[in-house]
Amino acid sequence: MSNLQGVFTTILNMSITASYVAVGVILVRLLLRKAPKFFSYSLWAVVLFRLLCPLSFTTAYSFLGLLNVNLQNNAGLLEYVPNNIGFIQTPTVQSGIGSLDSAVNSSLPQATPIASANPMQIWMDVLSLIWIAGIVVLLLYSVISYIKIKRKLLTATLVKDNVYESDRIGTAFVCGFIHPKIYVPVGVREADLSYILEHERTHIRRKDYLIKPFVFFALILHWFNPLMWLSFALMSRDMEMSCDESVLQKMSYDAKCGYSNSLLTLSVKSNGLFAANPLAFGESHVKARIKNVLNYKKPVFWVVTASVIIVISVGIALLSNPTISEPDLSFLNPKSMLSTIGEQEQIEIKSTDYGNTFVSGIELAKWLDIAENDWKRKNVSSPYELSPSITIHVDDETGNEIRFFESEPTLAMTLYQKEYRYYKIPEEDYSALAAMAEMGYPLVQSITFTEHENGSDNASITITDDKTIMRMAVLMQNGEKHRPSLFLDSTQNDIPPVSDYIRIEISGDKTYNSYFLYSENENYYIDKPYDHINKIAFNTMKEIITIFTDVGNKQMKEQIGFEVESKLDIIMSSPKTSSNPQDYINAHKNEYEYFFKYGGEEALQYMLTQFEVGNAEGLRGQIMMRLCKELLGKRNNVTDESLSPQEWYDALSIRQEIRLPHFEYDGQDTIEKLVYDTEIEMDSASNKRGGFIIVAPKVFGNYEEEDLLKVFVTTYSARYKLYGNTLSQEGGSIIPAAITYRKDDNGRYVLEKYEQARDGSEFGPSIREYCMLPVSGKEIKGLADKIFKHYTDYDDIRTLLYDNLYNHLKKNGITDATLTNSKGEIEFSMSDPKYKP
Amino acid sequence: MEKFKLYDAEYKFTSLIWDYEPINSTELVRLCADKLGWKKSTTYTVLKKLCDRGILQNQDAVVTALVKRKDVQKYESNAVIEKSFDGSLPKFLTSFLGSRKITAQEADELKQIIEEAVK
Repeated sequence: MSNLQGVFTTILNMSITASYVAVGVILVRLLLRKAPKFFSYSLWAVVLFRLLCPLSFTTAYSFLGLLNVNLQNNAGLLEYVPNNIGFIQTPTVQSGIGSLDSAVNSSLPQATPIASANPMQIWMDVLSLIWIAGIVVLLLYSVISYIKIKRKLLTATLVKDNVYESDRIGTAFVCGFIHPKIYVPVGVREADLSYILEHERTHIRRKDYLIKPFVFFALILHWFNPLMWLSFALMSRDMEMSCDESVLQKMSYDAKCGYSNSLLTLSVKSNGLFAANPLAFGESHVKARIKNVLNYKKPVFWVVTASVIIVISVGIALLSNPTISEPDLSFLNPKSMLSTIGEQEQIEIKSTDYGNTFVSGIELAKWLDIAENDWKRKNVSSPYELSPSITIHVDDETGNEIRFFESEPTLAMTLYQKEYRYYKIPEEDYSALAAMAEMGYPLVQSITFTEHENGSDNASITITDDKTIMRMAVLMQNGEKHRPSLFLDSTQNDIPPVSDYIRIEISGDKTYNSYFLYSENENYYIDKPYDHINKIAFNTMKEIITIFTDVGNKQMKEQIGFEVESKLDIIMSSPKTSSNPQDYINAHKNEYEYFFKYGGEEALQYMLTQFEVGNAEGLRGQIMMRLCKELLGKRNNVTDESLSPQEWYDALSIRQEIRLPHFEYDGQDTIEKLVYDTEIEMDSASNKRGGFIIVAPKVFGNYEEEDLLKVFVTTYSARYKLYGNTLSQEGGSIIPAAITYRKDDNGRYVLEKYEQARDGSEFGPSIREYCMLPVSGKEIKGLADKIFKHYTDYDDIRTLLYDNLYNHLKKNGITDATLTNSKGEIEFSMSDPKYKP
Repeated sequence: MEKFKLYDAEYKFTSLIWDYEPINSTELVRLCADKLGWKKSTTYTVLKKLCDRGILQNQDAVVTALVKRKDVQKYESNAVIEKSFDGSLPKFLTSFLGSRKITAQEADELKQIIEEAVK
């Protein structure tokens, strides 16, 4: 497109805008008839602005908003005639007037594909040439006219100051740009002269001698627009009248008569031979001006106030462009589609390869929210002739969709009703969407999740719930591309390069995909063998795992419920004759034991929910109550044994466990420190049932040979749980042991060997066996007997154990805790000074 | 002898020469700048024109008048304005801009309006 044509189109668009504004000003002028003419005069500034500046700010109440067209392009320009009109297949203009548009548009030539140049383009070229020619002619004419009058005025003679007179002019006017001079005809009466000079001086003061040529220049640019000529004439009139008023305001009120007489004299004197000069005193509209002068009254306050308000509000309404009021267009922005997508449980993805599938709206919105950051808006003048291979149906009612194209994978198109917009997108986003379409429900019927640890698979969880499938479809496409293909890289036999991973198999009738999830060097990956490895955020990883653990837990709960019910059924099955629940329990010891060996906490939770829902009547309630009481142990706060099962449950408030760390030795002895650490470590390694461990070791001796250190101890070790101020002993043991450490290069002792006394008849021999030096293997005389003797009387380590317990509780901020044995006797109490170390 | 007809500016210029003749042309330029607000070039242009018409004489930079004051008559201003003012706005616009000529009848009408308004 030639520059000229572009400029012409801009002028054309400004001209159309200015025409609307001019019509507005002309209408408002009627309102302002009684107001000082200055207000009408100032309103023309808006038309001038529209003639020269294609841009403007936007407000909601723009006058142009009344036109039912969407004209604003991105740059805030108003476009009735599109800038690229010469290149459009079917050129159209929208003026805001329907019938005009259809008439104009039907006359606009359509592009003929064979022709090398579009006929519309040729038309625009011709028109812009005519336009520029008109400007040249008018400018030349103006310049020549100006030179001619300047020459005529050379011989004008000085009257005073900047006033000159000449017999070669018929009227008074101001001429010049830098040092404007007032020229008056020869022979003006002294009385008239004072009025004439006051008028011209007012023009100079108000810089009208500069404004008018400037406005005229704008008129030349828009010479083809007759409305602008009319506007120019009206503006000149307003200018003169407001100048007249300004003179009258300055002079005494009686000057009205003299002033209007001067106006008349000057026009009569010229005897019709003069014509309008833009800056002359005695020029156009004499009659109207005389009437205006005669009618002039000093403006009343409220008229001025009303006029100021009208001018400012109308000025803004005419000056501003309409805000894009249609929400339609904003919906073309993928960001604004997010909320619509996120609100829907399922979003349909239509794919030419896989048909219609559904994915989770929330997950898709999350994915799009991140992906969309890399999308760049692409300006195109008309839609491409491409058929989409993937379509996301955002909203079926409005036809809001996002389209993707296999042939152009870096392109996305958003649609809202009939509006559209294009985006340039990363190619990965296309592949991700393609994979989502393939994994959506109902194409996929199950997802299986298998944890692989240390070389073998754990039990797997299979999901067939379509909601979870819809969520998973998007989650599996998350992340940024890490490595293009596993095939070229580390993985062999389709498994990841790490020992612990999660395998996710997604399968349906026609599809099967397997993915791996794992972490390596604190990064998280989703790995699709032979396809891609995506690096994912920790949160994505967590989300996927949470989905599976949730489902796993749910499945396990169902499993537990099933087991508990079947065991309860067996227990309640016999002996039918008895009414004592204990008889039923005694009759089915194995089933009863099941709850403690395998059911544990899960069975307890299940039975408590049965109480909660009121499904605990009669015998069933009795048996469940007994089971619960036993499983709860110290957590049971109800001691009244006379309550019925439901009463018991209602009174029950399960004591919450206060979790404490294991005991930690804070003395100075190196050997003891080693022993404490080792004992705690050995105990906690075998402890999967919670609680905290306290140990109390007695050291019988330590022997060092070369780099080995062997320590002989008997350790009282106990595990406790704390519920409120009630301690519950969960287990305990007193076991002699020999611990061997190796001194490493840094002088630190590292556990080498841990030998424990064995049970039963092997107790004695096993101790004797390890009572020897660490390297030479020589027997340590008397040591084993010392250990045996102590084992029969270990009050010292029991005391130490309670001392350690006391200190440990205190260190952890516990001030009151009591431990009772099975007979209900107090074993230990923090409040009892007896147990204070 | 037929009377010479002079424009207003020419008459004022010639008047200066009658008052000060014989006058050095440099002196005249200064005088014109002072009294008429003319530029040097304007003064010389008018001087040459009037010399050509035989009204003035410029010999060795001394200017004198060749005609007497009583032999000269000023043009009537009205007669001078041969055509309408063709100033900075092209003439063809003027008709469009609605500056109708005012007729004697309209002038009378306006006079009446003014008189009535002032009463």
